[in-house]
Amino acid sequence: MAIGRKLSNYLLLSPAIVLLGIFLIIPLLFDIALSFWTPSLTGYQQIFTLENYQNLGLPAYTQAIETTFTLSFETVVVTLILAYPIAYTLAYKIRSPRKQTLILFTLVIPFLMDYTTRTISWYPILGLNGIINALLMDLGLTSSPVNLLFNQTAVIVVWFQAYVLFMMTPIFLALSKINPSLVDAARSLGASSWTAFRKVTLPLSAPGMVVGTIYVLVSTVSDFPTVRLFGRGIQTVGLAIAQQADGLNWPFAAALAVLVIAVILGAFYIIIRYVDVQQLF
Amino acid sequence: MGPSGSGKTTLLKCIAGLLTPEAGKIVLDGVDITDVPPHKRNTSLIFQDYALFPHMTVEENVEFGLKLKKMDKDTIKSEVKHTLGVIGLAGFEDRMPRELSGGEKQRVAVARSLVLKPKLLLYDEPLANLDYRLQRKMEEELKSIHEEFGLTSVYITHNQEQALSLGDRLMVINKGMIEQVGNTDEIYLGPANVFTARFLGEINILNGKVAGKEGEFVRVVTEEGSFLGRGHGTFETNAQVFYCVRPEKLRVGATPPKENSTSAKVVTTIYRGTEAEVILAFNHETRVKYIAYDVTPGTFKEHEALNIHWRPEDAVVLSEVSKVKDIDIDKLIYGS
Repeated sequence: MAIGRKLSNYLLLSPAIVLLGIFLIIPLLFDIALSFWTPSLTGYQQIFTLENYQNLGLPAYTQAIETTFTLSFETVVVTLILAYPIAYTLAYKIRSPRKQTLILFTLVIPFLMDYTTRTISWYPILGLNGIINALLMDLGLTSSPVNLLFNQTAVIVVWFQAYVLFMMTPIFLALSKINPSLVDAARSLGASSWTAFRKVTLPLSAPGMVVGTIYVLVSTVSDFPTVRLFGRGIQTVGLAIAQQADGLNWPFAAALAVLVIAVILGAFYIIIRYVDVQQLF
Repeated sequence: MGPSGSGKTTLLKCIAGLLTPEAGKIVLDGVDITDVPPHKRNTSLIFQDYALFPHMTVEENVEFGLKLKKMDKDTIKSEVKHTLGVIGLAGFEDRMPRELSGGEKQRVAVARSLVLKPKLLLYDEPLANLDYRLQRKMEEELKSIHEEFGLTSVYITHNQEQALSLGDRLMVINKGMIEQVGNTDEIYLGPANVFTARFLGEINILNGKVAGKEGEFVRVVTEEGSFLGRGHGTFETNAQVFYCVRPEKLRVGATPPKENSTSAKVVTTIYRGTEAEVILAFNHETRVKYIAYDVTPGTFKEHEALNIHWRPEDAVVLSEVSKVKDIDIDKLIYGS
């Protein structure tokens, strides 16, 4: 029996389409609908209102939105700057594939651990009686322990460890795909090694940086447990959504979520317009 | 030229400055450039895989080097335009490399180096990835571009036809050693050893022993008879030598001359249009190749007996196999 080529393509894609439909599209549509409904003591009533969106303008929430994106942006910048040299070294300086695999595997190990274990293990390092403070005091750099936990820097440090691989891997892939002759060609056409990097390697690895940025951005914006554990007192949108949902104000939590999704999609749109992400695949 | 793995590309990269030699000096126009970084060498390398910058248009690729020289915009524009015109790519300025065919990509790669007017243009098997017809066409174009711009070029290839058609002077290398240097025709007609002789085209080789000098020629006794050939240097009597004749130098004749003549049987014929390759078996079964031009199919019948002869000056007597010890020439020439 002949099934049309197009149809058979869709049939092959159907498990993915069904999965995305049930677990992404429908919940998303429900989330949007929910954000226009009226909160009640037991959750929500299906009465249309714009109140949830008006409440987004309250100073507490505009502040949370600002903090969230500042924090995520800073994390993206830190991971980008630190992950790039790692990816570069891995792609170009380590020639044996065995060593490459070994190093990649070592970098993956933290991700094989449970979130809680991995995250909690920062306490003995950053805590008042932790390794870093002990070191600082032994070196005589400080007489009393410095508060390293519970601030924005702590959150960024933990996020860096949690998400650096998501930045490094796409950059590594992008760099690995660059034809080494291109840098040689640039050099032979009169470019210094720095110019060759700036004009050839860097722009050609842009798709990797973009994908990494998207991963880290999405992951950090939605990661509220880390903020709760390491950023005591810092309010982010993720945290606010969790709190509102706990407090049964689902419509307002939904409105906050819609806002975050809109901002992220907007960022994607701008990024993808200017960078050819397809080069990576 | 040389077989794969002989060190051609390594040598070229050393000249371009992309690799640093462990020993020796690189001198360009009387100046030692061994320690000069590649971007200050005034050489430009053209790659086998083109190495066009995929994120730049044809124009941006070609102006890359000029921009780094900080030339003024109008000069850059007119230079790029002129070079693209010469190379036959006028109007391609805004295309991206991925929109070009293999031949067009190679032209851009050449234009990109040519526009800089370097002291030395380096070609790394630039036509290897193109199909045969396009290779022939590009050979002609490269030759005319070379004449128009008058730039000294080093061109590496493992293709003997390109080496002979494009080169003025030829260096045959093998496993990092120089087998022979000289003008192309000199090397083709007077190879220094068996490796060069076989690498640069087809050649028939008979094993034999030196019988002695006869005037300007050397007499060699082989299984198939005693023949005269050119020989450079001294040849001791009874020394083992290789008696070599190129297939196109063999002649078929009803009345054979006294010297360098023998009878042979046709084994098979490979018809190639312009020419026909005839495989012959001499009296003692040595297989040789004869190239006949302008033949109609069926001229040479299987098992037909022929009188074969050749001029003494068309045969070369060689005593050396290669400058490199213990090599498998067949493997080097045909690949493993």
